[in-house]
Amino acid sequence: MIEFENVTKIYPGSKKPALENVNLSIEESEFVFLVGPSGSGKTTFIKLLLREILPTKGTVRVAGIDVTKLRSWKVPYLRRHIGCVFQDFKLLPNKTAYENVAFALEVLGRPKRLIEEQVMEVLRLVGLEHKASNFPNELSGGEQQRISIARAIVNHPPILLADEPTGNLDPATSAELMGLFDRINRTGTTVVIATHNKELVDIMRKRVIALEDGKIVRDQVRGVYGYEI
Amino acid sequence: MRFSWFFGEAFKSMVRNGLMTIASILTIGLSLFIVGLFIFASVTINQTIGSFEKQLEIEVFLKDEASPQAVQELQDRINSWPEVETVAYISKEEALQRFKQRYKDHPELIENIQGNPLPASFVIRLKDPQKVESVARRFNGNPAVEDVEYGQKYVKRLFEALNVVRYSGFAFILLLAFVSVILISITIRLAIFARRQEISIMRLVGASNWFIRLPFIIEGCFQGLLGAIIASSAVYIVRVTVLEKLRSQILWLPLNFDSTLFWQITAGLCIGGLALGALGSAVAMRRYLRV
Ligand SMILES: Nc1ncnc2c1ncn2[C@@H]1O[C@H](COP(=O)(O)OP(=O)(O)OP(=O)(O)O)[C@@H](O)[C@H]1O
Ligand SMILES: [Mg+2]
Repeated sequence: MIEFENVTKIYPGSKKPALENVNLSIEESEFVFLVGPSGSGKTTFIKLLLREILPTKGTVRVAGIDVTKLRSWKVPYLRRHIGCVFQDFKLLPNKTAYENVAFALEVLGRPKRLIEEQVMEVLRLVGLEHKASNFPNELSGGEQQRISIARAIVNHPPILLADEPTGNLDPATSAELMGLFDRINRTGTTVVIATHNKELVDIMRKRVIALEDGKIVRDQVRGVYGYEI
Repeated sequence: MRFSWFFGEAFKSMVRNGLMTIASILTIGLSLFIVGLFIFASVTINQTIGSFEKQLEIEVFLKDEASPQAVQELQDRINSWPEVETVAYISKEEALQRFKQRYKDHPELIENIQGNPLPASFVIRLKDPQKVESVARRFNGNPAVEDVEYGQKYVKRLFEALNVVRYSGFAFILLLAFVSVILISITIRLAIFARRQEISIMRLVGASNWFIRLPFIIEGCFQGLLGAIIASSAVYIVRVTVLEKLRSQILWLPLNFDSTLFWQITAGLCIGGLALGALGSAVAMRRYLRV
């Protein structure tokens, strides 16, 4: 489903690569944790998948398609197949929580009735149906994060990316959320989660890919966060 | 695509970006107002100049000994010239009567007249008064013509002066239009710049470029149109207050404000506002749609 082939990313103006010669392959309906210290290249990895940025070298393939060669006008169609929870949420400031989630469906041209149904359903799932008509600046960090999650999953994309999705959540909500991701994964969705959250990674016992200084230093099938175990 | 949805998006966003929307509309309105006002003033001045010019006449004085046949021939010839609007023949008797009429307050002048010293004449008005000199020159050496009078001394300088007024007015309007186009596009550019994050987020969650663009363009159109309506209303207010007062105080000035001109300006401003709003938004968005 996801393939990186000799991928190197050097941001313009910096000498050190953010990702260096990364090779990996993630199969359909896999559940993967991407771990590593701050600045190790996790967000860069996700941005490459979304084609928010292009690699300096190498190929990124999503569902067999070479993303780096994708024409600009086709990029939105790629993104409609990838739900993404952004590290900085990326909610539209002038839209309510409801409208932010609905936007991912409007983009697909879904009828209004269906949108209403599905949006309310995911808002209930993330426990925020009572905040539907609030604007992002009226929500707490954790609430914004959950709206971002709701938007990422509302159209049931085949791939779900989440960049530090529990960063602003308490342990109980985080655990609940992991349960949700697990359930989504069981319906066949490929899930990639970048995180620092050691406890959750250790509990879930999924595949763990560890990055350090832009290089893959470990790739374990039923791994844990650190080396200790 | 559901067109009403895009309109809904555009209007929601205008309301939620209230201050920015008002600022844009006011900038557009003010810029268009100044352009509209100067177009209005310049056209009115040109019309006034035109009606002054229309009063220019060529007087062709005929020799007393010219035969009626020769006079008739000359009149036919003048009538055949395409530049000529009207030709009037004034006989010696009519000329005398007019003279008496004009100087009836000065009987001493009239008493001194012996016989009828006044010549018969043609009074010619032209469709384009600026051709007065070239038409007048055609009478040179004509055996039936005694003299031609058309204000030789001042007409050339008058036309030069009037043309300076005309063309500088036109150039000034072009300059104003240019400045206001720049001002409006900078305003739109800033408004879009303030929302570049929004645009890139929409791209990231899978919106196609047209899906993002359309509400912005509708917004631009609406703001441009509203600005144009404000501008036209302001031009109208100036027209009925300031200019109307001017006209009532300077009676000799043949100022005429026709309402067709006002509606033409309104239509022009609306089209300009719409085009600038739509194009300005589309152009300003381009760079943020590449993510
Ligand atoms: N736009 C950019 N321009 C230049 N350098 C960048 C840019 N974005 C990231 N970097 C650098 O690339 C490296 C990897 O950044 P990245 O955001 O991928 O890290 P991360 O693993 O997501 O970190 P964190 O856990 O703190 O979110 C860092 O050294 C960062 O400073
Ligand atoms: Mg990051």
